Amino acid sequence: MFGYVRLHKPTIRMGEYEQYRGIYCTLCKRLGKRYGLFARMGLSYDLTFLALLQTALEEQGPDFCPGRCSFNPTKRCLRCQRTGPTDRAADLTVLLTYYKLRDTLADEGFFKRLGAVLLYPMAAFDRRRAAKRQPQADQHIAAMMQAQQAVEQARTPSLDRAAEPFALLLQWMAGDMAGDDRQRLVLERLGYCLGRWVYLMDAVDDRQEDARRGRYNPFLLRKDEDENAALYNLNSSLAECIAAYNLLEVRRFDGILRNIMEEGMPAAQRQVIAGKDATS
Amino acid sequence: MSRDPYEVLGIQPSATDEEVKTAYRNLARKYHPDNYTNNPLSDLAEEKMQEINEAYDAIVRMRKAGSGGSAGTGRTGGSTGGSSRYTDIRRMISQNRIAEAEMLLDGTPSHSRDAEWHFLKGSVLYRKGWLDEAHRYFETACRMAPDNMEYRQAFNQVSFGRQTGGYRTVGTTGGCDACDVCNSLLCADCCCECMGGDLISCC
Repeated sequence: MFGYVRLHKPTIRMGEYEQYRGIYCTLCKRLGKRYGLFARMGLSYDLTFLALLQTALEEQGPDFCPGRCSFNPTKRCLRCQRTGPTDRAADLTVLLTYYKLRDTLADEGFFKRLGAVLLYPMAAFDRRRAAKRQPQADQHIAAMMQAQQAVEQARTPSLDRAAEPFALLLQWMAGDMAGDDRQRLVLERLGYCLGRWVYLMDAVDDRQEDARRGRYNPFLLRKDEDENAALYNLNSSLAECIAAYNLLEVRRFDGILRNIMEEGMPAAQRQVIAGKDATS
Repeated sequence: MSRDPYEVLGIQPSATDEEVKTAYRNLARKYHPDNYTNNPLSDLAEEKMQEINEAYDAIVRMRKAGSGGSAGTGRTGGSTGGSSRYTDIRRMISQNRIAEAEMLLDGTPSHSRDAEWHFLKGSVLYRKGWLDEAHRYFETACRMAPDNMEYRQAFNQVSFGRQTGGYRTVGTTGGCDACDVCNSLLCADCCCECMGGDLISCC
């Protein structure tokens, strides 16, 4: 998707890093198993985070066993034996890849569009299978894309309104993992604020390019505001995420999740605001 | 509350009194109602806070068997009564009926929108996750009624989130903020004045 929700390597513990890699590798593997080689290209840190969060909430652990990376067999990595959360993340990855591609077809430059045209049949084929497994998710993503288009056409200067469609999508994705009402409330808040953060990060990241091409970007329409608007809004979304997370009772991976939210995401934020490429 | 109080505070039964106190203090800071003002999760945070308070009290009681040591947990009361005009809306907000509350608020004619209206509108937006506009409404409420603590607290909380992000800062960037700059200038000015010169002519 975007790849902003990621680890902060310098401070994570070795064991935790291996577990994180385990979830990441399993997601990649499951993408390959369920959809094939092409779908693996959609692998992202953001969906890894969702898989990680869901695994953290489940009663039974992921049951790691040793395995090897299929692209680089000399590299060892952990592999989950219980793949419920990673399978769901794989389906969501495929769906999001498809809709992202459709978006590219609609409003990118010639070369990117050409690429998208070539990839489109594969993505559409995979998406049909994913939509059968996750019909609700497919509907939610389609609704999000439509709402997003409406926002862009209206050229609203409100950051909140612009971020709402994507935030609502993540609200649903996170809320759907809940086991009970209490957990749902917390997860929905967490998801909403996470989605808002990701959307705003993407908007900040694309500021210059959007200005050049005359495309819609909520930050470009707020000329009156001081230059800290980006930082303040990212900060407030992240602060709400963490406040919600504090109320979540996870069974495992607390260290990893906190590393991502309290260190990885702030680091990504600094990088994007400083204007460097964040997806490296 | 059947959970082991030590488990609630995340410590071993062998922890020293000082460790118990530190663990309690850290958790209380994390879940303090002030961190969740206007938040849709405020009830859950309050529950959690109560659990922590009870656990701490239980441990203190167990350790000081007999001398009934009560932990001073100074909790702040949540609701401050507003004017009667908005009681319905306040109730809706506290019951998380956000869409209804927002509809009623939007129905208020613009000439009779006072500070409390702006505060409530901000609260509704905040609960929806519209953090940017919420901040602006809280700001307006504070400007219209600078002495109201309820509005001030809501505004401060949102501003704090905007400025700090709720995460711990990684590494020291060796930064110097506006205060440092001013202090250094004033200091340099004093030094210059001692020697008969002047750096900042107006002071």
